[in-house]
Parts: sequence; C-alpha cells; structure tokens
Amino acid sequence: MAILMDTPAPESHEHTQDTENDLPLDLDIWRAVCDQLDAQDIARLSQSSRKASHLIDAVGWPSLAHRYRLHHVTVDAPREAHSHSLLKYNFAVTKALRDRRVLAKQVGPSWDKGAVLNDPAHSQIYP
Amino acid sequence: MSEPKVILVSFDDEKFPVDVQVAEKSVLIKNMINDLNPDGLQEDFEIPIPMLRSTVLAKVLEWCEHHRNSEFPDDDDDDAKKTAPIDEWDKNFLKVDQEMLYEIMQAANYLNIRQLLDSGCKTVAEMIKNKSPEELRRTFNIVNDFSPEEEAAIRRENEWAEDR
Repeated sequence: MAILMDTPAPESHEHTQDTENDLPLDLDIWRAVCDQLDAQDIARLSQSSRKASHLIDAVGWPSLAHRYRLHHVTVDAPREAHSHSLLKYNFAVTKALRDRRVLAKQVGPSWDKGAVLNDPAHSQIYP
Repeated sequence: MSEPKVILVSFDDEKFPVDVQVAEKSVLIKNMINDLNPDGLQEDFEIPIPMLRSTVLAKVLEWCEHHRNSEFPDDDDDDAKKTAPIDEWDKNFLKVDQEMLYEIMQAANYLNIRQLLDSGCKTVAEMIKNKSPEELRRTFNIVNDFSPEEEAAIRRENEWAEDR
C-alpha cells in the first residue's frame, strides 16, 4: 500500500542553497535555538547583520522576554507583546535579584524628614 | 512471515524500508500509519517524503534506529527539555557540516521528531554561545551589512544585555 503526500516537492535542499550569508533555518526552529541562549548571546547575534537583527527582533527578544517575565501590579490589561524597555527592566531586576545587587527604591510617599533628623547618624546630612 | 515494513521514499526516489517502531519516532509518520491503517499494518506501507534528500533521510533514520528504544523526558515538560544536556551519542552524530546539520534540523521539524530537533537546536546554540559578533559572522558565514554608524548604534542599544 502506498500513499501520496500532497506537499509540493521542493527544489532539492531549497533552503540550503543560499548559505553565503544566511541563517537558513525556519523561524520556529530559531525560536527553539534562542530559548537556549541568554541575553548576551542574543544581543551579539543581533549585531552580526541586518538579517540576524530582524531574526532576533522576531524570535530572540520575545524568547528572552518570556523567560524574564515578571508580575507587575497594574490595572492595565496584560500586554500581548513585551516592549523592549519592559524586557530591559525585567532583565535588570531578575539579574539583580539573582546576584543580590538589590537597591531599595522608594515607591510610596516621602518619608517624614523628622524621623530621619532624629537619627544622630544622619545629623551631618540634615543639620 | 516477517513483520510488514514502512518504506520511506526520499525526494530522489531512494527507498528506505524500516521497522514500524523506527518509523514511528516521527510523530508525522506515526499519525499517518495509524490514520491510514486503523487495524494495524497488514502489508508493507510506502510513504513518500518529497521534502527530504536521500542523504538527509538516511541520517534521520540512523538517529531513529539508534533511539528506537530510548525514552525521553515528557513532551510537555519544557524545563526538562531545555535544561537536559545533549545526549553524548547525539553530539557525535551531529558533528557534520553546517549544511547537513541544518537539513537534519529542518527534517526533524518537518517529521516532528522533537528529540532530534532539540539536540540540533542545542548544537546550534553551542555554536553561538560566548562568541563576539565578528566570531559569529565567521562561524555562520554572515556578511556584515551594517554601516559603521548602524553597528555602533545597535551595540549601544544592546549594551544592557552584556551585564552578566
């Protein structure tokens, strides 16, 4: 018994003939490759050529954004796609937490200056 | 009487008779066999694979034959899939020229042989890791078509990613 596959027969090794300046793999395969790479490698690949840069825009940064996603308290609807600035922010936060390089950042209203002034250690700063 | 075989026919008309167990490493072929033979294979079953050259199909079938009894991490377990190191045999198997490596990966993707595709992706990732843009150009035969200004701009734009 034999069957026929109706996939059109391509020219033999169609995608391999243009290897002179190429990254000749399908986009979904590059996505899986990028899942194995960290930010530095993804960034360096994007710096190698325009085609590589487009490739990284399409699958590299989204792969990284997915791996470095963080929950942000917001009333906005969840984003369909991460912006580059959000990726940078999430990446920096994740790296800082991992390397224990965390700086406290004030998110609420200003502290009462009087409380600081009462601390003798700060009397030089606020005479 | 011997078991019926699956006969895979390459783009260039070469025939590869293989055991069902070997052919079924490909999810595409497995589904095809099951859909078209609901009562099981009674006779040899020929499947044309017009996307693949015989040299590539032969390599893919070599991998399927070697792994005919291998068990792999759960398909849905993404973390296990990503963190598992490349199988040592696969690593040697994929020491081929880049053109063949890409064709094997394309074939694995088309035939839906996830573990072979994973090994290929990890091999390509290893070729990328810890290389400068210039080294990447040499490795992948990429022509730098950025102007010096564009190159400097994209380097500045990506500086944040160099923080390891």
